[in-house]
Amino acid sequence: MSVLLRLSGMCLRLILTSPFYWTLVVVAFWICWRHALSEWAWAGFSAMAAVLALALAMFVDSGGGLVERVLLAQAGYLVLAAGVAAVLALSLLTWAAGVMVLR
Amino acid sequence: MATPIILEVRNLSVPPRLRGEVSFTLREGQRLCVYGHSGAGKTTLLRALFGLLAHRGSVVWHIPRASAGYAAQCPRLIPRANVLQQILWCSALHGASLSVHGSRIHDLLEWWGLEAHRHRLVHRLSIGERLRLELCCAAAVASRLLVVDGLLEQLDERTRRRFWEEMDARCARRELALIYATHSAREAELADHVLMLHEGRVLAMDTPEHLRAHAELQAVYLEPVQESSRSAVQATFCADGEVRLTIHPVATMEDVLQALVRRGGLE
Repeated sequence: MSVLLRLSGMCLRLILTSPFYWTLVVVAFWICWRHALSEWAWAGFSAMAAVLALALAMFVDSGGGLVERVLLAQAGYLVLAAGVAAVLALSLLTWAAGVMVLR
Repeated sequence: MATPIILEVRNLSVPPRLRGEVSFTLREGQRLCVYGHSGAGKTTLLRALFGLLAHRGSVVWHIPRASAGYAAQCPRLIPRANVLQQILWCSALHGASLSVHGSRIHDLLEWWGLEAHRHRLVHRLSIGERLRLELCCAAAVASRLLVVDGLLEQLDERTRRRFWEEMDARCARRELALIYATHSAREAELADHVLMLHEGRVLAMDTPEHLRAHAELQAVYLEPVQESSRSAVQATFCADGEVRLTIHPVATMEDVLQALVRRGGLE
């Protein structure tokens, strides 16, 4: 459990420190605000942004070094679970923030 | 009782980079050196052992893969993380949850000279520090086997000496086995067995002593060994009683002193 929490923390940090993620979030927020989309659309956009940022950090940053480390340790399912947990937690947070701001 | 086997490799080949078939058995506490010039297929072989490359032949792990640490030639560090997080996350990937304030993490950082940089982001580290961090991450997770790809000759002399002292002790206790790739004949001499590769083919696999005795291998193995042991330092006496030292870039103070002693310039 502690390993899963630590890896979720890793995924969260990789997402939150990604300039790509924040760019997507700002664009998604503007679209939702401009077209008066529901908070569910906003939550969906932010989840997608988080998934893309995490994939970028794993497969592209450092020449795909992280994904190689995952393959070496045969920890694919563990990292997948940690990534899903991190994206869900982040989406819930952004949804809550969206409900307050967009309504 | 025979020493337990860690890894069995049978007829492994990775065309087109590694065309020859490699077979060996690694036992607990053994040190295997994969030796060859640049482009010989050393990295290809090591990556194939971990299943990172498609290969022919079989690789059988007799230990959990998570108990093996791999230090790659080009450090594969996690982006946007600091030194401490690198080590914690690498060990988490291998199923170990190190405590942030525990003695193990402190010892590792201290040993690899990274204690002062523990909160520094990776992109702010020098190249030498990144290499040490890559080795530190591999050492943190390597409870049964450590695989090092060509990093040892890039370490500074002091860290390298300490590394080999540590390996001597741990391999003697059969706690850890070591596979390392190098193109330094001097480094290859420290292994129990040397697997010699040349242009993607296996030339030989034997102890360093036996390899030195093979006449046909001299061009690839013996000459570089002689070259490196011929010494990084040559001392010549001049007519006026001066001792002239020719020091090659890899020379250490020990080499300088030994050269002087050999030529009677120092007692």
